[in-house]
Amino acid sequence: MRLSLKARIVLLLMVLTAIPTLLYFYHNSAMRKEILQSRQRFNQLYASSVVSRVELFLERVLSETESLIYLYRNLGFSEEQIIWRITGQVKGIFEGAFYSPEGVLLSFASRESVKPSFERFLDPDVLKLPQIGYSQYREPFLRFALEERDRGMVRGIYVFSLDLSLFWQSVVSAKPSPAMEVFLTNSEGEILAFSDMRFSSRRKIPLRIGTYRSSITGTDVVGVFSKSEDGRWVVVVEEPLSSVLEPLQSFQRKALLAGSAFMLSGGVFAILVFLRIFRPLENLRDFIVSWEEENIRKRVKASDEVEELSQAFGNLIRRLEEERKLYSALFENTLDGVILFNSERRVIDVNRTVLEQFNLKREELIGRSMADLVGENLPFTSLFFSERKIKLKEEIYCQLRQEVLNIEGNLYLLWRLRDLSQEKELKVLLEHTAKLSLAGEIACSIAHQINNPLASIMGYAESLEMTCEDENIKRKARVIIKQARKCAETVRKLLEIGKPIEGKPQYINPEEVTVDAVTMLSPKAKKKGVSISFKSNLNGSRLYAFPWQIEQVLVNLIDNAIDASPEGEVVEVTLTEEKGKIVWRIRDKGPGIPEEEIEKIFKPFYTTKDHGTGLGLPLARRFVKNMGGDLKVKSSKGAGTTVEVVFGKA
Amino acid sequence: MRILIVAFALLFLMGCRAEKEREVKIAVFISGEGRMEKVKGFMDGLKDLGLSKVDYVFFEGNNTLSRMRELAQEIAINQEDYDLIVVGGSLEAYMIKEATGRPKTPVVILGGTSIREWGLTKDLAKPSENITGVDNLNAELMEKRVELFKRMFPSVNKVIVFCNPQFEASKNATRITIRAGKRFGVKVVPVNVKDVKELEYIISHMREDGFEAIIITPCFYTENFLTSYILHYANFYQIPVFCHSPGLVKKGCHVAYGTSGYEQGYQASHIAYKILNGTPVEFVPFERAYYPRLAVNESALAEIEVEYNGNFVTYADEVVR
Repeated sequence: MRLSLKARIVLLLMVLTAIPTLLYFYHNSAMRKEILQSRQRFNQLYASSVVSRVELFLERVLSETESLIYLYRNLGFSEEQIIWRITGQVKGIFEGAFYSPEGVLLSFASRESVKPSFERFLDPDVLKLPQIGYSQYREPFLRFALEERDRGMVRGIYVFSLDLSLFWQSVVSAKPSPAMEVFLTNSEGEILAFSDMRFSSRRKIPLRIGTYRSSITGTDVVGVFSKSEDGRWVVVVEEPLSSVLEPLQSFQRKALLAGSAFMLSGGVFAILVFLRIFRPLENLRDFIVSWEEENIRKRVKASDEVEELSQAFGNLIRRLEEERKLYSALFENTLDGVILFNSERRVIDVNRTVLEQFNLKREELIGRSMADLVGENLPFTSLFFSERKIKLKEEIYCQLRQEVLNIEGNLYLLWRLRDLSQEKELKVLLEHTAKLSLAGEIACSIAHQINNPLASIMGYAESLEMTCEDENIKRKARVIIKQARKCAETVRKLLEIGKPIEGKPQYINPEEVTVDAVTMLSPKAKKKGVSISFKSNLNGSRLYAFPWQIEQVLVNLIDNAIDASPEGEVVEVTLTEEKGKIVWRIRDKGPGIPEEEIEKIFKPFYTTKDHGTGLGLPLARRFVKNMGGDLKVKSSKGAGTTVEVVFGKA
Repeated sequence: MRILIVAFALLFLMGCRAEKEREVKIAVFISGEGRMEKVKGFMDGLKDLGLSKVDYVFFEGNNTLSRMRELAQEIAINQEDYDLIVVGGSLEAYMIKEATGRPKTPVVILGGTSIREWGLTKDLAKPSENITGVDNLNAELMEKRVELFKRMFPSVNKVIVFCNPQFEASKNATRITIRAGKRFGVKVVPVNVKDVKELEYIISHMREDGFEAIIITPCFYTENFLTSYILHYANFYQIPVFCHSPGLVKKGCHVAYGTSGYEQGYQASHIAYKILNGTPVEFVPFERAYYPRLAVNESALAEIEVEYNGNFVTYADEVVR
């Protein structure tokens, strides 16, 4: 399943939220168990302490009652008065009676009824042990007896009824919790007293320990019970579960509230941060992806937004790099020289054409001011100068076109330069070539005109040589034939030169072209006493070029080498393949060229020969450059000259 | 962003402080000002139990039955707004029961008489009508009061009791009183008065008919409204009055026997506490009022110059001199 980054972060947040929530419930469960156990232990201790107090409090009631009897007797109160006062003073005693030592009822008093339920004769069991009875409201009370003695003699017996509920209130007056219920039961679980004055109905409850639903309160309680040593009294303590767990619930509420508030505010905060981060991110992604799909036409497929964005950026950068290279290539390879100025009219870039045409290095131009180049700061407007003097390395005449570029609010000036010196050269060359062409045409016409008479001369000379028997004439006829053939050969070559030049490049065999050139110039070399050597290591490599231009270049270079070589020396012509390139080297052992004059030799009409035109080398270099090759001269004075012609392989 | 962080922190702190003690809302419905002693006891009781945040909404009937019925209706309509309805006595509880059918909100009686006779429960040990409270046993104690009255005023043979025959509980208390009177040689005559004028007329002329004392029975009308007038006119016409609440002795009543309204209210607060803590009413039985006390106002007796058994004063739990 593929999830977006946003979905993954939301999922992570949910998991992070779920962990504390689970911990919260686990913690609560553990705390609940601990609190219940702890409370049960505490209540058990409390029940034990209360049950131990039952007999103690009973003793106290008896003792207090006995004291009051003694007191009021000494004050001269009647038995009835004594009983009445005691019912008003001892908490829980609500009625009493006075029996004679023989057990006959003599008087009584009650706070509740006009006729208490005292027996006419004393129940002997009451004398032994307090007895449980039930009031007119069906409430249990404890009836006990106290002997009144006077000088060691039993004067009478007081019997009192103690309301167990009121008595019980004294026993459990300080309950640990107001919600706690503390009951007094007998050994059978029959309730004798509640900690309040409720109407009971002589109920019997099961004696249990633990957490259960109370049959008294009807709520879930933590209940324990404890029996007195003699087993007569049982104290049952029940505390509502809600009361026991109140601290936990209070903590839970607080924790839940604080947690909820934290989660809520954290959630809102996270959402806002989310929106803050993801909305721009999504917008950016949508924009880039749609732009890419529209412009680059490459669909972005990724598992999340960041990967999508990353891919999109990758594509975009590749595309930008590609386009940068393309425009850089266009910039560098345009035939015009290009100079770029910034808004302060300082050169910030130049293309290769400028550097090559004017034999400059980039750092020589970068940073130079426009005023430095043309003597003034041209305005930010499109301009055209058909001829403008520009001082680059040296002053040259160029055709200058200025254009204003406004790119992202920044102004740039772009110069396109065209070197007019070459055009001038070409103009002169063209004129010269026109002359040569005319001379060639004349030569061809003459050759054509010569061809027929020459054929007649040859024909007659052959006929003479064949028919004449005079050896002297025959010898002369053979000389005529031989010379006539030479003339015919020369004429044929002239006619061949005069043929229209094929204007298309083609695959040529460099070795064959070189051999033709060497063959052509061999007679001149022989005449000067110079020999030509030719070596080649090409293995059938071919060159895609104009054949006549290659031949013209080689003829020119070898011819110059022959001219420069002293008699008896060798002009070495080598043809090699180096690093995937075809290289001609024509080496002579002539006087060499001074280093400072090497560049000059490529200038038109520069010559050191008596009958030279000064066009050979400039033409040769132009032909080579036009075909994508290079021509270099290595020479120093007295050490001969080597000319190197380099072409890439076809 | 800073605002967000501050808001987040505040929200967190508020969340931590938001937990507070639950406020309890209790409707207090009493027939008249005479019940305020019970209410005070109730309020003090709840306070002692730790419930301090209680919103009491009082509905006082001005001792007028029609007004009380209106208030009972009002409480019945809005009963679910309250955690508990506290009523001064059986009559108010009866009216609430009448208005609601069976109250949804638990009702606690601060001190009522003849609970079963009013039909407020079938069993005092197991409340059946969502009503519980304190039974002050005033009706049951009437016999004892007559006995004590006779012992206090041995020469008095004819007494008047004021009752409201409209209510069965009042009639029941009167019946008990008459029966006890027969037992102790006192003729008890019930009288129904409609207003203060009638009351004054009766008190001013009762001696002419041989009636020498008044015994107050547990009846809302006399208990709340007439008692102060009865005491006023009785003192004026030198008629001893036997009241049912020791609290009244301090207000001029000559002798009283019973439990005080304050104690009843205080006791009722413990019942209310259990209910507010979630114990269902059926598991909170009615409670008996604590044991009754005899109070004598000697100075009031001296003022009316009535003949009484001075020895019997030694029986008094409280004596006002």
